[in-house]
Amino acid sequence: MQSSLIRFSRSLAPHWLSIAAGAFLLSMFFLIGNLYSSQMELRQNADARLVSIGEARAAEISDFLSARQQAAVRLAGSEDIANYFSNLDLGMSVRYGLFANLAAIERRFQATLDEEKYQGQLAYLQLAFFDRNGIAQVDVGASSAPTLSPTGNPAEPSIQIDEKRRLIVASAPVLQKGTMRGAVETVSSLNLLASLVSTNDLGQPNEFLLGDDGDVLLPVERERSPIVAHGRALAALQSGRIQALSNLEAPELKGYLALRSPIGGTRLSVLRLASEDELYGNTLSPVSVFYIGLFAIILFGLAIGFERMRQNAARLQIKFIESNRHRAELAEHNLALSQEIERREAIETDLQRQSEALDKTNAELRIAAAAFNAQEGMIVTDTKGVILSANRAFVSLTGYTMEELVGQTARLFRAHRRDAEFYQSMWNSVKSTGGWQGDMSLRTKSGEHCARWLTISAVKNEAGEVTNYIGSYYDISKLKHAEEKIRELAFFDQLTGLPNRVLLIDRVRQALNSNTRNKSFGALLFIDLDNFKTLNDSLGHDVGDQLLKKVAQRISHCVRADDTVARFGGDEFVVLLANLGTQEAKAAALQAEAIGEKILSAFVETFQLDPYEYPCTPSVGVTLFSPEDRNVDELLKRADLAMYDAKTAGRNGLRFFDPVMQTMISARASLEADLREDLKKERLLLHYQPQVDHEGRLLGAEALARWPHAERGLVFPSEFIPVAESAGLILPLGASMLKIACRRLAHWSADPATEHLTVAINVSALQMRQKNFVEQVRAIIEQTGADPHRLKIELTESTLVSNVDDVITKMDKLKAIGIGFSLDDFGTGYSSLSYLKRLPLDQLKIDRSFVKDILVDPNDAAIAQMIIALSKSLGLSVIAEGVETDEQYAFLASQGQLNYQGYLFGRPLPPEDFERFARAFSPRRSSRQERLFVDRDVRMKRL
Amino acid sequence: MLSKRIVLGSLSGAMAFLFVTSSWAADLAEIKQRGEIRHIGIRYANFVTGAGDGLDVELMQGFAKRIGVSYKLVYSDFYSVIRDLLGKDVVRKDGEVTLTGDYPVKGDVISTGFTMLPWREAILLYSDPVLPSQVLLVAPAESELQPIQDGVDLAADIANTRKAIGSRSVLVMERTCLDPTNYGLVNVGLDLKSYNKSANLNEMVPAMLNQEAELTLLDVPDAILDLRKWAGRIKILGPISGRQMLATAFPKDAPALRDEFNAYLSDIKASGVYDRLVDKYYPGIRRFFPEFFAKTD
Repeated sequence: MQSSLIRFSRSLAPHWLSIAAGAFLLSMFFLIGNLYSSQMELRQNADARLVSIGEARAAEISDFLSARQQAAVRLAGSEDIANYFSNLDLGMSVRYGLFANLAAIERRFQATLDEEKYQGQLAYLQLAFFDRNGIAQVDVGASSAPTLSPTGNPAEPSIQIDEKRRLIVASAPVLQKGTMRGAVETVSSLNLLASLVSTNDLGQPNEFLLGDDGDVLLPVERERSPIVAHGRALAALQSGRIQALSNLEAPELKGYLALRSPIGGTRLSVLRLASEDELYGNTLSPVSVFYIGLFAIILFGLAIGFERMRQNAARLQIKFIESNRHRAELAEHNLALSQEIERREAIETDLQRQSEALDKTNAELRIAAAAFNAQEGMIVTDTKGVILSANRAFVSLTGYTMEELVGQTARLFRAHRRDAEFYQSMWNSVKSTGGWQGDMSLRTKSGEHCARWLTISAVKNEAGEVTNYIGSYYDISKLKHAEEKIRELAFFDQLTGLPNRVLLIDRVRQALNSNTRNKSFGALLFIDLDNFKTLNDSLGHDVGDQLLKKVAQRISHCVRADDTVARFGGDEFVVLLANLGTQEAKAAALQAEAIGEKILSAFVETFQLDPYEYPCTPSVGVTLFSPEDRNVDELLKRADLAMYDAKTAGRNGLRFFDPVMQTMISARASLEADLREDLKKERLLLHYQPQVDHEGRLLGAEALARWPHAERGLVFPSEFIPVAESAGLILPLGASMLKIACRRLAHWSADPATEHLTVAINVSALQMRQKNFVEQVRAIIEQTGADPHRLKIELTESTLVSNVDDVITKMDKLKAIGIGFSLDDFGTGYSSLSYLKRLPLDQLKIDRSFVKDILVDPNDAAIAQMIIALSKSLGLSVIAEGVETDEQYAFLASQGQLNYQGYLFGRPLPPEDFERFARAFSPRRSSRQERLFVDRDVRMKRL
Repeated sequence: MLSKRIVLGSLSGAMAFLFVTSSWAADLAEIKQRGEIRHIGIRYANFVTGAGDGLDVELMQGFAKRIGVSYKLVYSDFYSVIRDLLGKDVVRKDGEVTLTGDYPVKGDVISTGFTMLPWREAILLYSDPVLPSQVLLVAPAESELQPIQDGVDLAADIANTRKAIGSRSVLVMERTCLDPTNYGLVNVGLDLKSYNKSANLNEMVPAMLNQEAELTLLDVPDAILDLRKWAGRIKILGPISGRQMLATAFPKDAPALRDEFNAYLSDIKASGVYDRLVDKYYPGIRRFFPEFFAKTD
């Protein structure tokens, strides 16, 4: 059974399209049947709608006529007409009585005429009241209205259409006590109904008002309408039924349908015309449905024919595809063959190129291997920083074996003293510039840290792509150690371990900046031990030192963690209360006083100085500093003055900087004004202090500013430089001094005795920060004609605190024209190897503060030695300033071949004096003369 | 002789009036300076309705606006109206008119359907006629008297009407336009009953219907209203008087005010404002006096 079904279905398969077409044909017949029935329903609905419209139009006209008739009835029954007849019955004459009633009727009629409207137009043309004899007693209306003639004495209200005059006349009887006494007539224009008769979209009328005899009353413009000629036939149409006008002999009406709707209560009717399109729109006629059915059958026949053609075409296409496939296979074989030939040629060329490259690489590798086995540690990494190789020096340095290092990254021996940002910056530099160098702490396998100067270089291939990085670690541990030692010596007092004057001043400066931001007060307490000199002189320095240590401890216990206790010098201590946490001076003063009193209390107990018990008291001077205060020296002076005030008041006490001391501040203001004036008038001078070499030969001089004040005599830089700084005059002052020095240099060049001399001049940090400093110096040299090779600029370390790169750039530019650089005050500030190595310096200067106590203070001696050692390692010359004694000279000379400056070799001299001095040093004299001169001068200075 | 006495009396009265009230006289200039015109009105028909409007009220309001002053209505009655204007009482005796006493002047102008009568013209300045009037004889509807048939002329109509009175009582109101003295009805044997319960002419018809008299006199303006108000209850028998004129009255010493009013009246007649006011308050009167209104149309 199943197999027969399968066979049957297989036999049908080739005829599937014919079967589908048959099914389609059946469904089309079904759909067409449905279409026919729905179209018929639509046509019936359209007919019903037309009948409904016609009836509605007839009802509207009927309503209008009815309204006119009711108005006539209403007027006929008005009170005014009733009054008229009452008074008439009383016998009153029109002249002496009825005139009032007629006036009232007239007024009412006029009001009705004026007020009643239909679709915005006056509803009436005329209103009239007739008596029983048909005489018009009241006649209201437009003078253009047709003259009325009474319609008789109607017993009932009626409507009449005057077709000729196109009027609608409504009349109603006037009844009084059951008797007909007269009549009221209203007259309206037939044209009022014109708006009820509609037109089609083209403006052609499609509704008509017909009289009973077939006269076309509306629309107004009807003369050209074919309806007029056939009015009688149309009026005879059966009412309420839609009829075709095909049997009328009017070609214009061919294809039109007509509906006549009678108007109730009259013999009028409304005729509505509509074409089939208007009425039925897009509905299909039965003939159209028949054609659609026929079309479906034809479509079926075509489908059968196309199916046969398709089968033939499919057989032909299969043959065509088979033929194409054979041809494509042949082409593919040919292509593969030619590609194989090209590949083999390329391999041959590549082998030849690689052979040549190998020869070149071998030569380079031999050079690299030699460099790689240098004394400095070196590693080679890939582009991701993974170590590929390390030399013996690096293996020895880190303690790791080669096997342990290879495959690791530099993180293995990082000291974790730098943050991620540092390393990110480092690698950014490497990637952008191809290299980086800087100091780096390296951690060995045993955990030790050693300072190294790391240089990273990128290795690129022929295509310019980075293939490897080489890291070289130079040993700078000794330099680092020296740097740290210098820093420690520079900022802390070796005896008490307290911050020294330098660090204190720095912290005060920081506090001032911070308080400016916070708007709060701080205070400085200047503490001086009473009678300390007596103790020192009587019991010796050792005991004095013991006291200083204990005093330092006690003071330190009296202050807060954030406060700074510094040894300012000798027996002077300064306490910095950086932030008193208040914006009110009075509260700040109370807090400062409380701490001051606490410090005084700490001295109540005697000090145990082995083997003595020593009572010691301090004198404390206090000054507050407000957010507006900016000058550190000024504050220290205030505190110092207050301390002296405390001493004057009997020691062991505390005094604030008071208004009396303000007078001194005022004096300073006066000094500032004088400085400004004298600077403007170029009254400031330069004195020149000789600088000699290790054999006592005159090398040049340091130019030192001097201010010959009109009243105070010669004022020294230590006094007026701070004033210039606070008054913003440091830049004009610096420029002026540089100009004077260059003029002098130019002057010296003309004299054989001085032509070889150099001039060193101090340039402040502020000057260096000027954007156009280099241009300024060049301009001055050009204007004065000075030899730049004879000019030496002395910089202080404070110049280098910020924006070192900018300073280096400027120094490089000036150095390019021959100007030399000396670093002044080295060791007193932020001595740092990191910039020292980068600066294009010629000379380091040992500060006079170290030289002064070089023989008595081992710290100072050690600093001096460090500076000398550092200079040697960096290849710089050294000059010691403030050399005043033979002993100092002898000590320094024992450290190496230095240059010197100080009273031992000459005081600062006015230019003329210095030139005489130089002539005495002239190289034209014999070395014996020179030596003698020096010896004589030395002796002279000693005297 | 009678008329001579009236003239002399009128002149002496006027002189006395001028002498006494000269300080009170308010002509146009003073009224403008004061900024207000006081209109003396009597509640009478639709001239001054008592509800704040009326033909004369609107006329005077328009006049006040024309001369740029504010308007004030002062109510009075027919007995006091001249006294309120002139500050003097009017005494008519034996055909003579005299002004006596001193009273407060309450207004500047009388405008209230005020009939122009000779004795009044002796002591007042009248404007141009504002409205015509006439006095009619009215009877209840059930009276056996019939309205007269229209005669050949007005004199014949008046004679027929007076003849119809016979011995019947007639209700009149002295010192008003219904004063029988004005129409020669006194001392001719008629039974005249003076209505003195009030000075309101509107009450004449109700009083007659209340059988206080068999007939009553009624002026045309009132008749127009009453024929509608009492339709079927009264009938007009005929005329008692000839045509009268109603006008606005001013003190003798206010000629400028009167002249300005005449100019105003002329202007509103020309503009149609006057006709609209007449139709508003007296519809139908134009039918009664077609010749008067024919002039203004």
